[in-house]
Amino acid sequence: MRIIFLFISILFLPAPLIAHEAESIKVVVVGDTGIGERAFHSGFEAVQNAMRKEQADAILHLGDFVYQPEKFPSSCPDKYIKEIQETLAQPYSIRIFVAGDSDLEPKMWKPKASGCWDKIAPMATPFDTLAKHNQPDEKWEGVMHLGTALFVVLDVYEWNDPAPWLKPIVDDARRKGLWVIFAMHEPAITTAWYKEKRQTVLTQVNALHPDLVFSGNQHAYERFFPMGIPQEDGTLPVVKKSNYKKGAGVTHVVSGGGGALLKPFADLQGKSKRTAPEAVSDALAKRALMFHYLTLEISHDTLNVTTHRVCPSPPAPGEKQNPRWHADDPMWNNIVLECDGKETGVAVFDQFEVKR
Amino acid sequence: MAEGWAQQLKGDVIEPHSAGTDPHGMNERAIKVMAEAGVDISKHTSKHVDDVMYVHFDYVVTVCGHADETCPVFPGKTKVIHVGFDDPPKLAQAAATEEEALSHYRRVRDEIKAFVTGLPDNLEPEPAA
Repeated sequence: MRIIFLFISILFLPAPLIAHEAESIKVVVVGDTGIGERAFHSGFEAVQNAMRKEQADAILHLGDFVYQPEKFPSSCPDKYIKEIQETLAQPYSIRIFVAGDSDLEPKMWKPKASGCWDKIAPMATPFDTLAKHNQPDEKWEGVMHLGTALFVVLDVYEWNDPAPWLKPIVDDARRKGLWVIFAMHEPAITTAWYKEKRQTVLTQVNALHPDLVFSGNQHAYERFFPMGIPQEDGTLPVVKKSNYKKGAGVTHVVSGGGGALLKPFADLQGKSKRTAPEAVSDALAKRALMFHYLTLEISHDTLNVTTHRVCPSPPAPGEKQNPRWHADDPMWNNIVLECDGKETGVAVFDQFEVKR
Repeated sequence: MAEGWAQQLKGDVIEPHSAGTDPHGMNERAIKVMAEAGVDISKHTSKHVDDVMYVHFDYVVTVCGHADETCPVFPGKTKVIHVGFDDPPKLAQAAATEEEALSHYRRVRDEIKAFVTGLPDNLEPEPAA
């Protein structure tokens, strides 16, 4: 007869995130960080310095870590990886990383993608194997339990309705009273550079009833009012509040202001084909062209999200670098950045909370 | 790592299970250093304690300080023993190189091996009734 042993360990994770119910966890959220030659590095430095001072337990990076200059690069330079390691990985105990299209292998429709993902992914904290599902190995998606929240990373570039594998996990989390937070690179809804996803990605994501959905890709900040499942005519049922009860709807936040060049919203550029329909614009609570990051504080009773505007030091005389995408384009004559006329530094730009 | 060593060294006298108080997937470095020692744990999964509560354990061994504090109650005759090992992922965060990070894993791997090698004789005797 054998003796039955159970070894209990937390050797799989750093200690600070074993959250008791009374405690809260702080996560910094950032996307589209400006490492590489096609970004505004001063903006990135200001953002990552401010994030580091938050002393957060975890980082959620929404993808696009590197913007390199060459088409179809043959390799990912180590200088990028070193900077990511030092600024976005080492300062945080837990690292939830989303793969962006600029991180993946270059393709015809994205020839300047860095191909760095194979070196970035090992820096991420592994997803929970307990919830392993039957997705192809090459998909970068999975779930992670942190304190009183379930984080779900979705791969938007090989999109299938995630409900078959994800719904049982989300339902289980909800039964246990956990908050449910999704993260993906390309947004399900945006006014920045519109792609019609109301009856596909947006409907499928909202049908799983996450409390929050974070995405990046658009080099700006957008927050939408909590919304339900889009109706067949495209109408979006929204609750126009900033503080609301859990279950009032799904809040989508687009955060791509980590140092990438700031790109004006399509309507500001006069791009009618990429301008969001009225129903989408009406669902928008707030937006801005600015470098920024978010802090997400998760406690048993509340999800509190604060958006921090980061205004970097003005360029030195003679410095050519400009935070504006296509800075010489005359469209900028009529477009202002959120930091224009404001002091250098970090300030609260937006805040909302969800209460149980 | 403890489950891997117990299977390897004491499979004839111990039925080992392992679980975490808040699991986050198998650690690639742990898999690597165990493989160096000839123990394959790559097929193991990171389970939550709740998922093994149905098993009647003779012994529960908590292998770090935090697990000891947050360990669930095991009813009946289960004996709960705490053995303090350093947490390699935590130590590895401060490592300047991958090799330095792996050195923490190797040290803890060897410490766990020494503990498991002495099982079950090195367990505290039951207190007198």
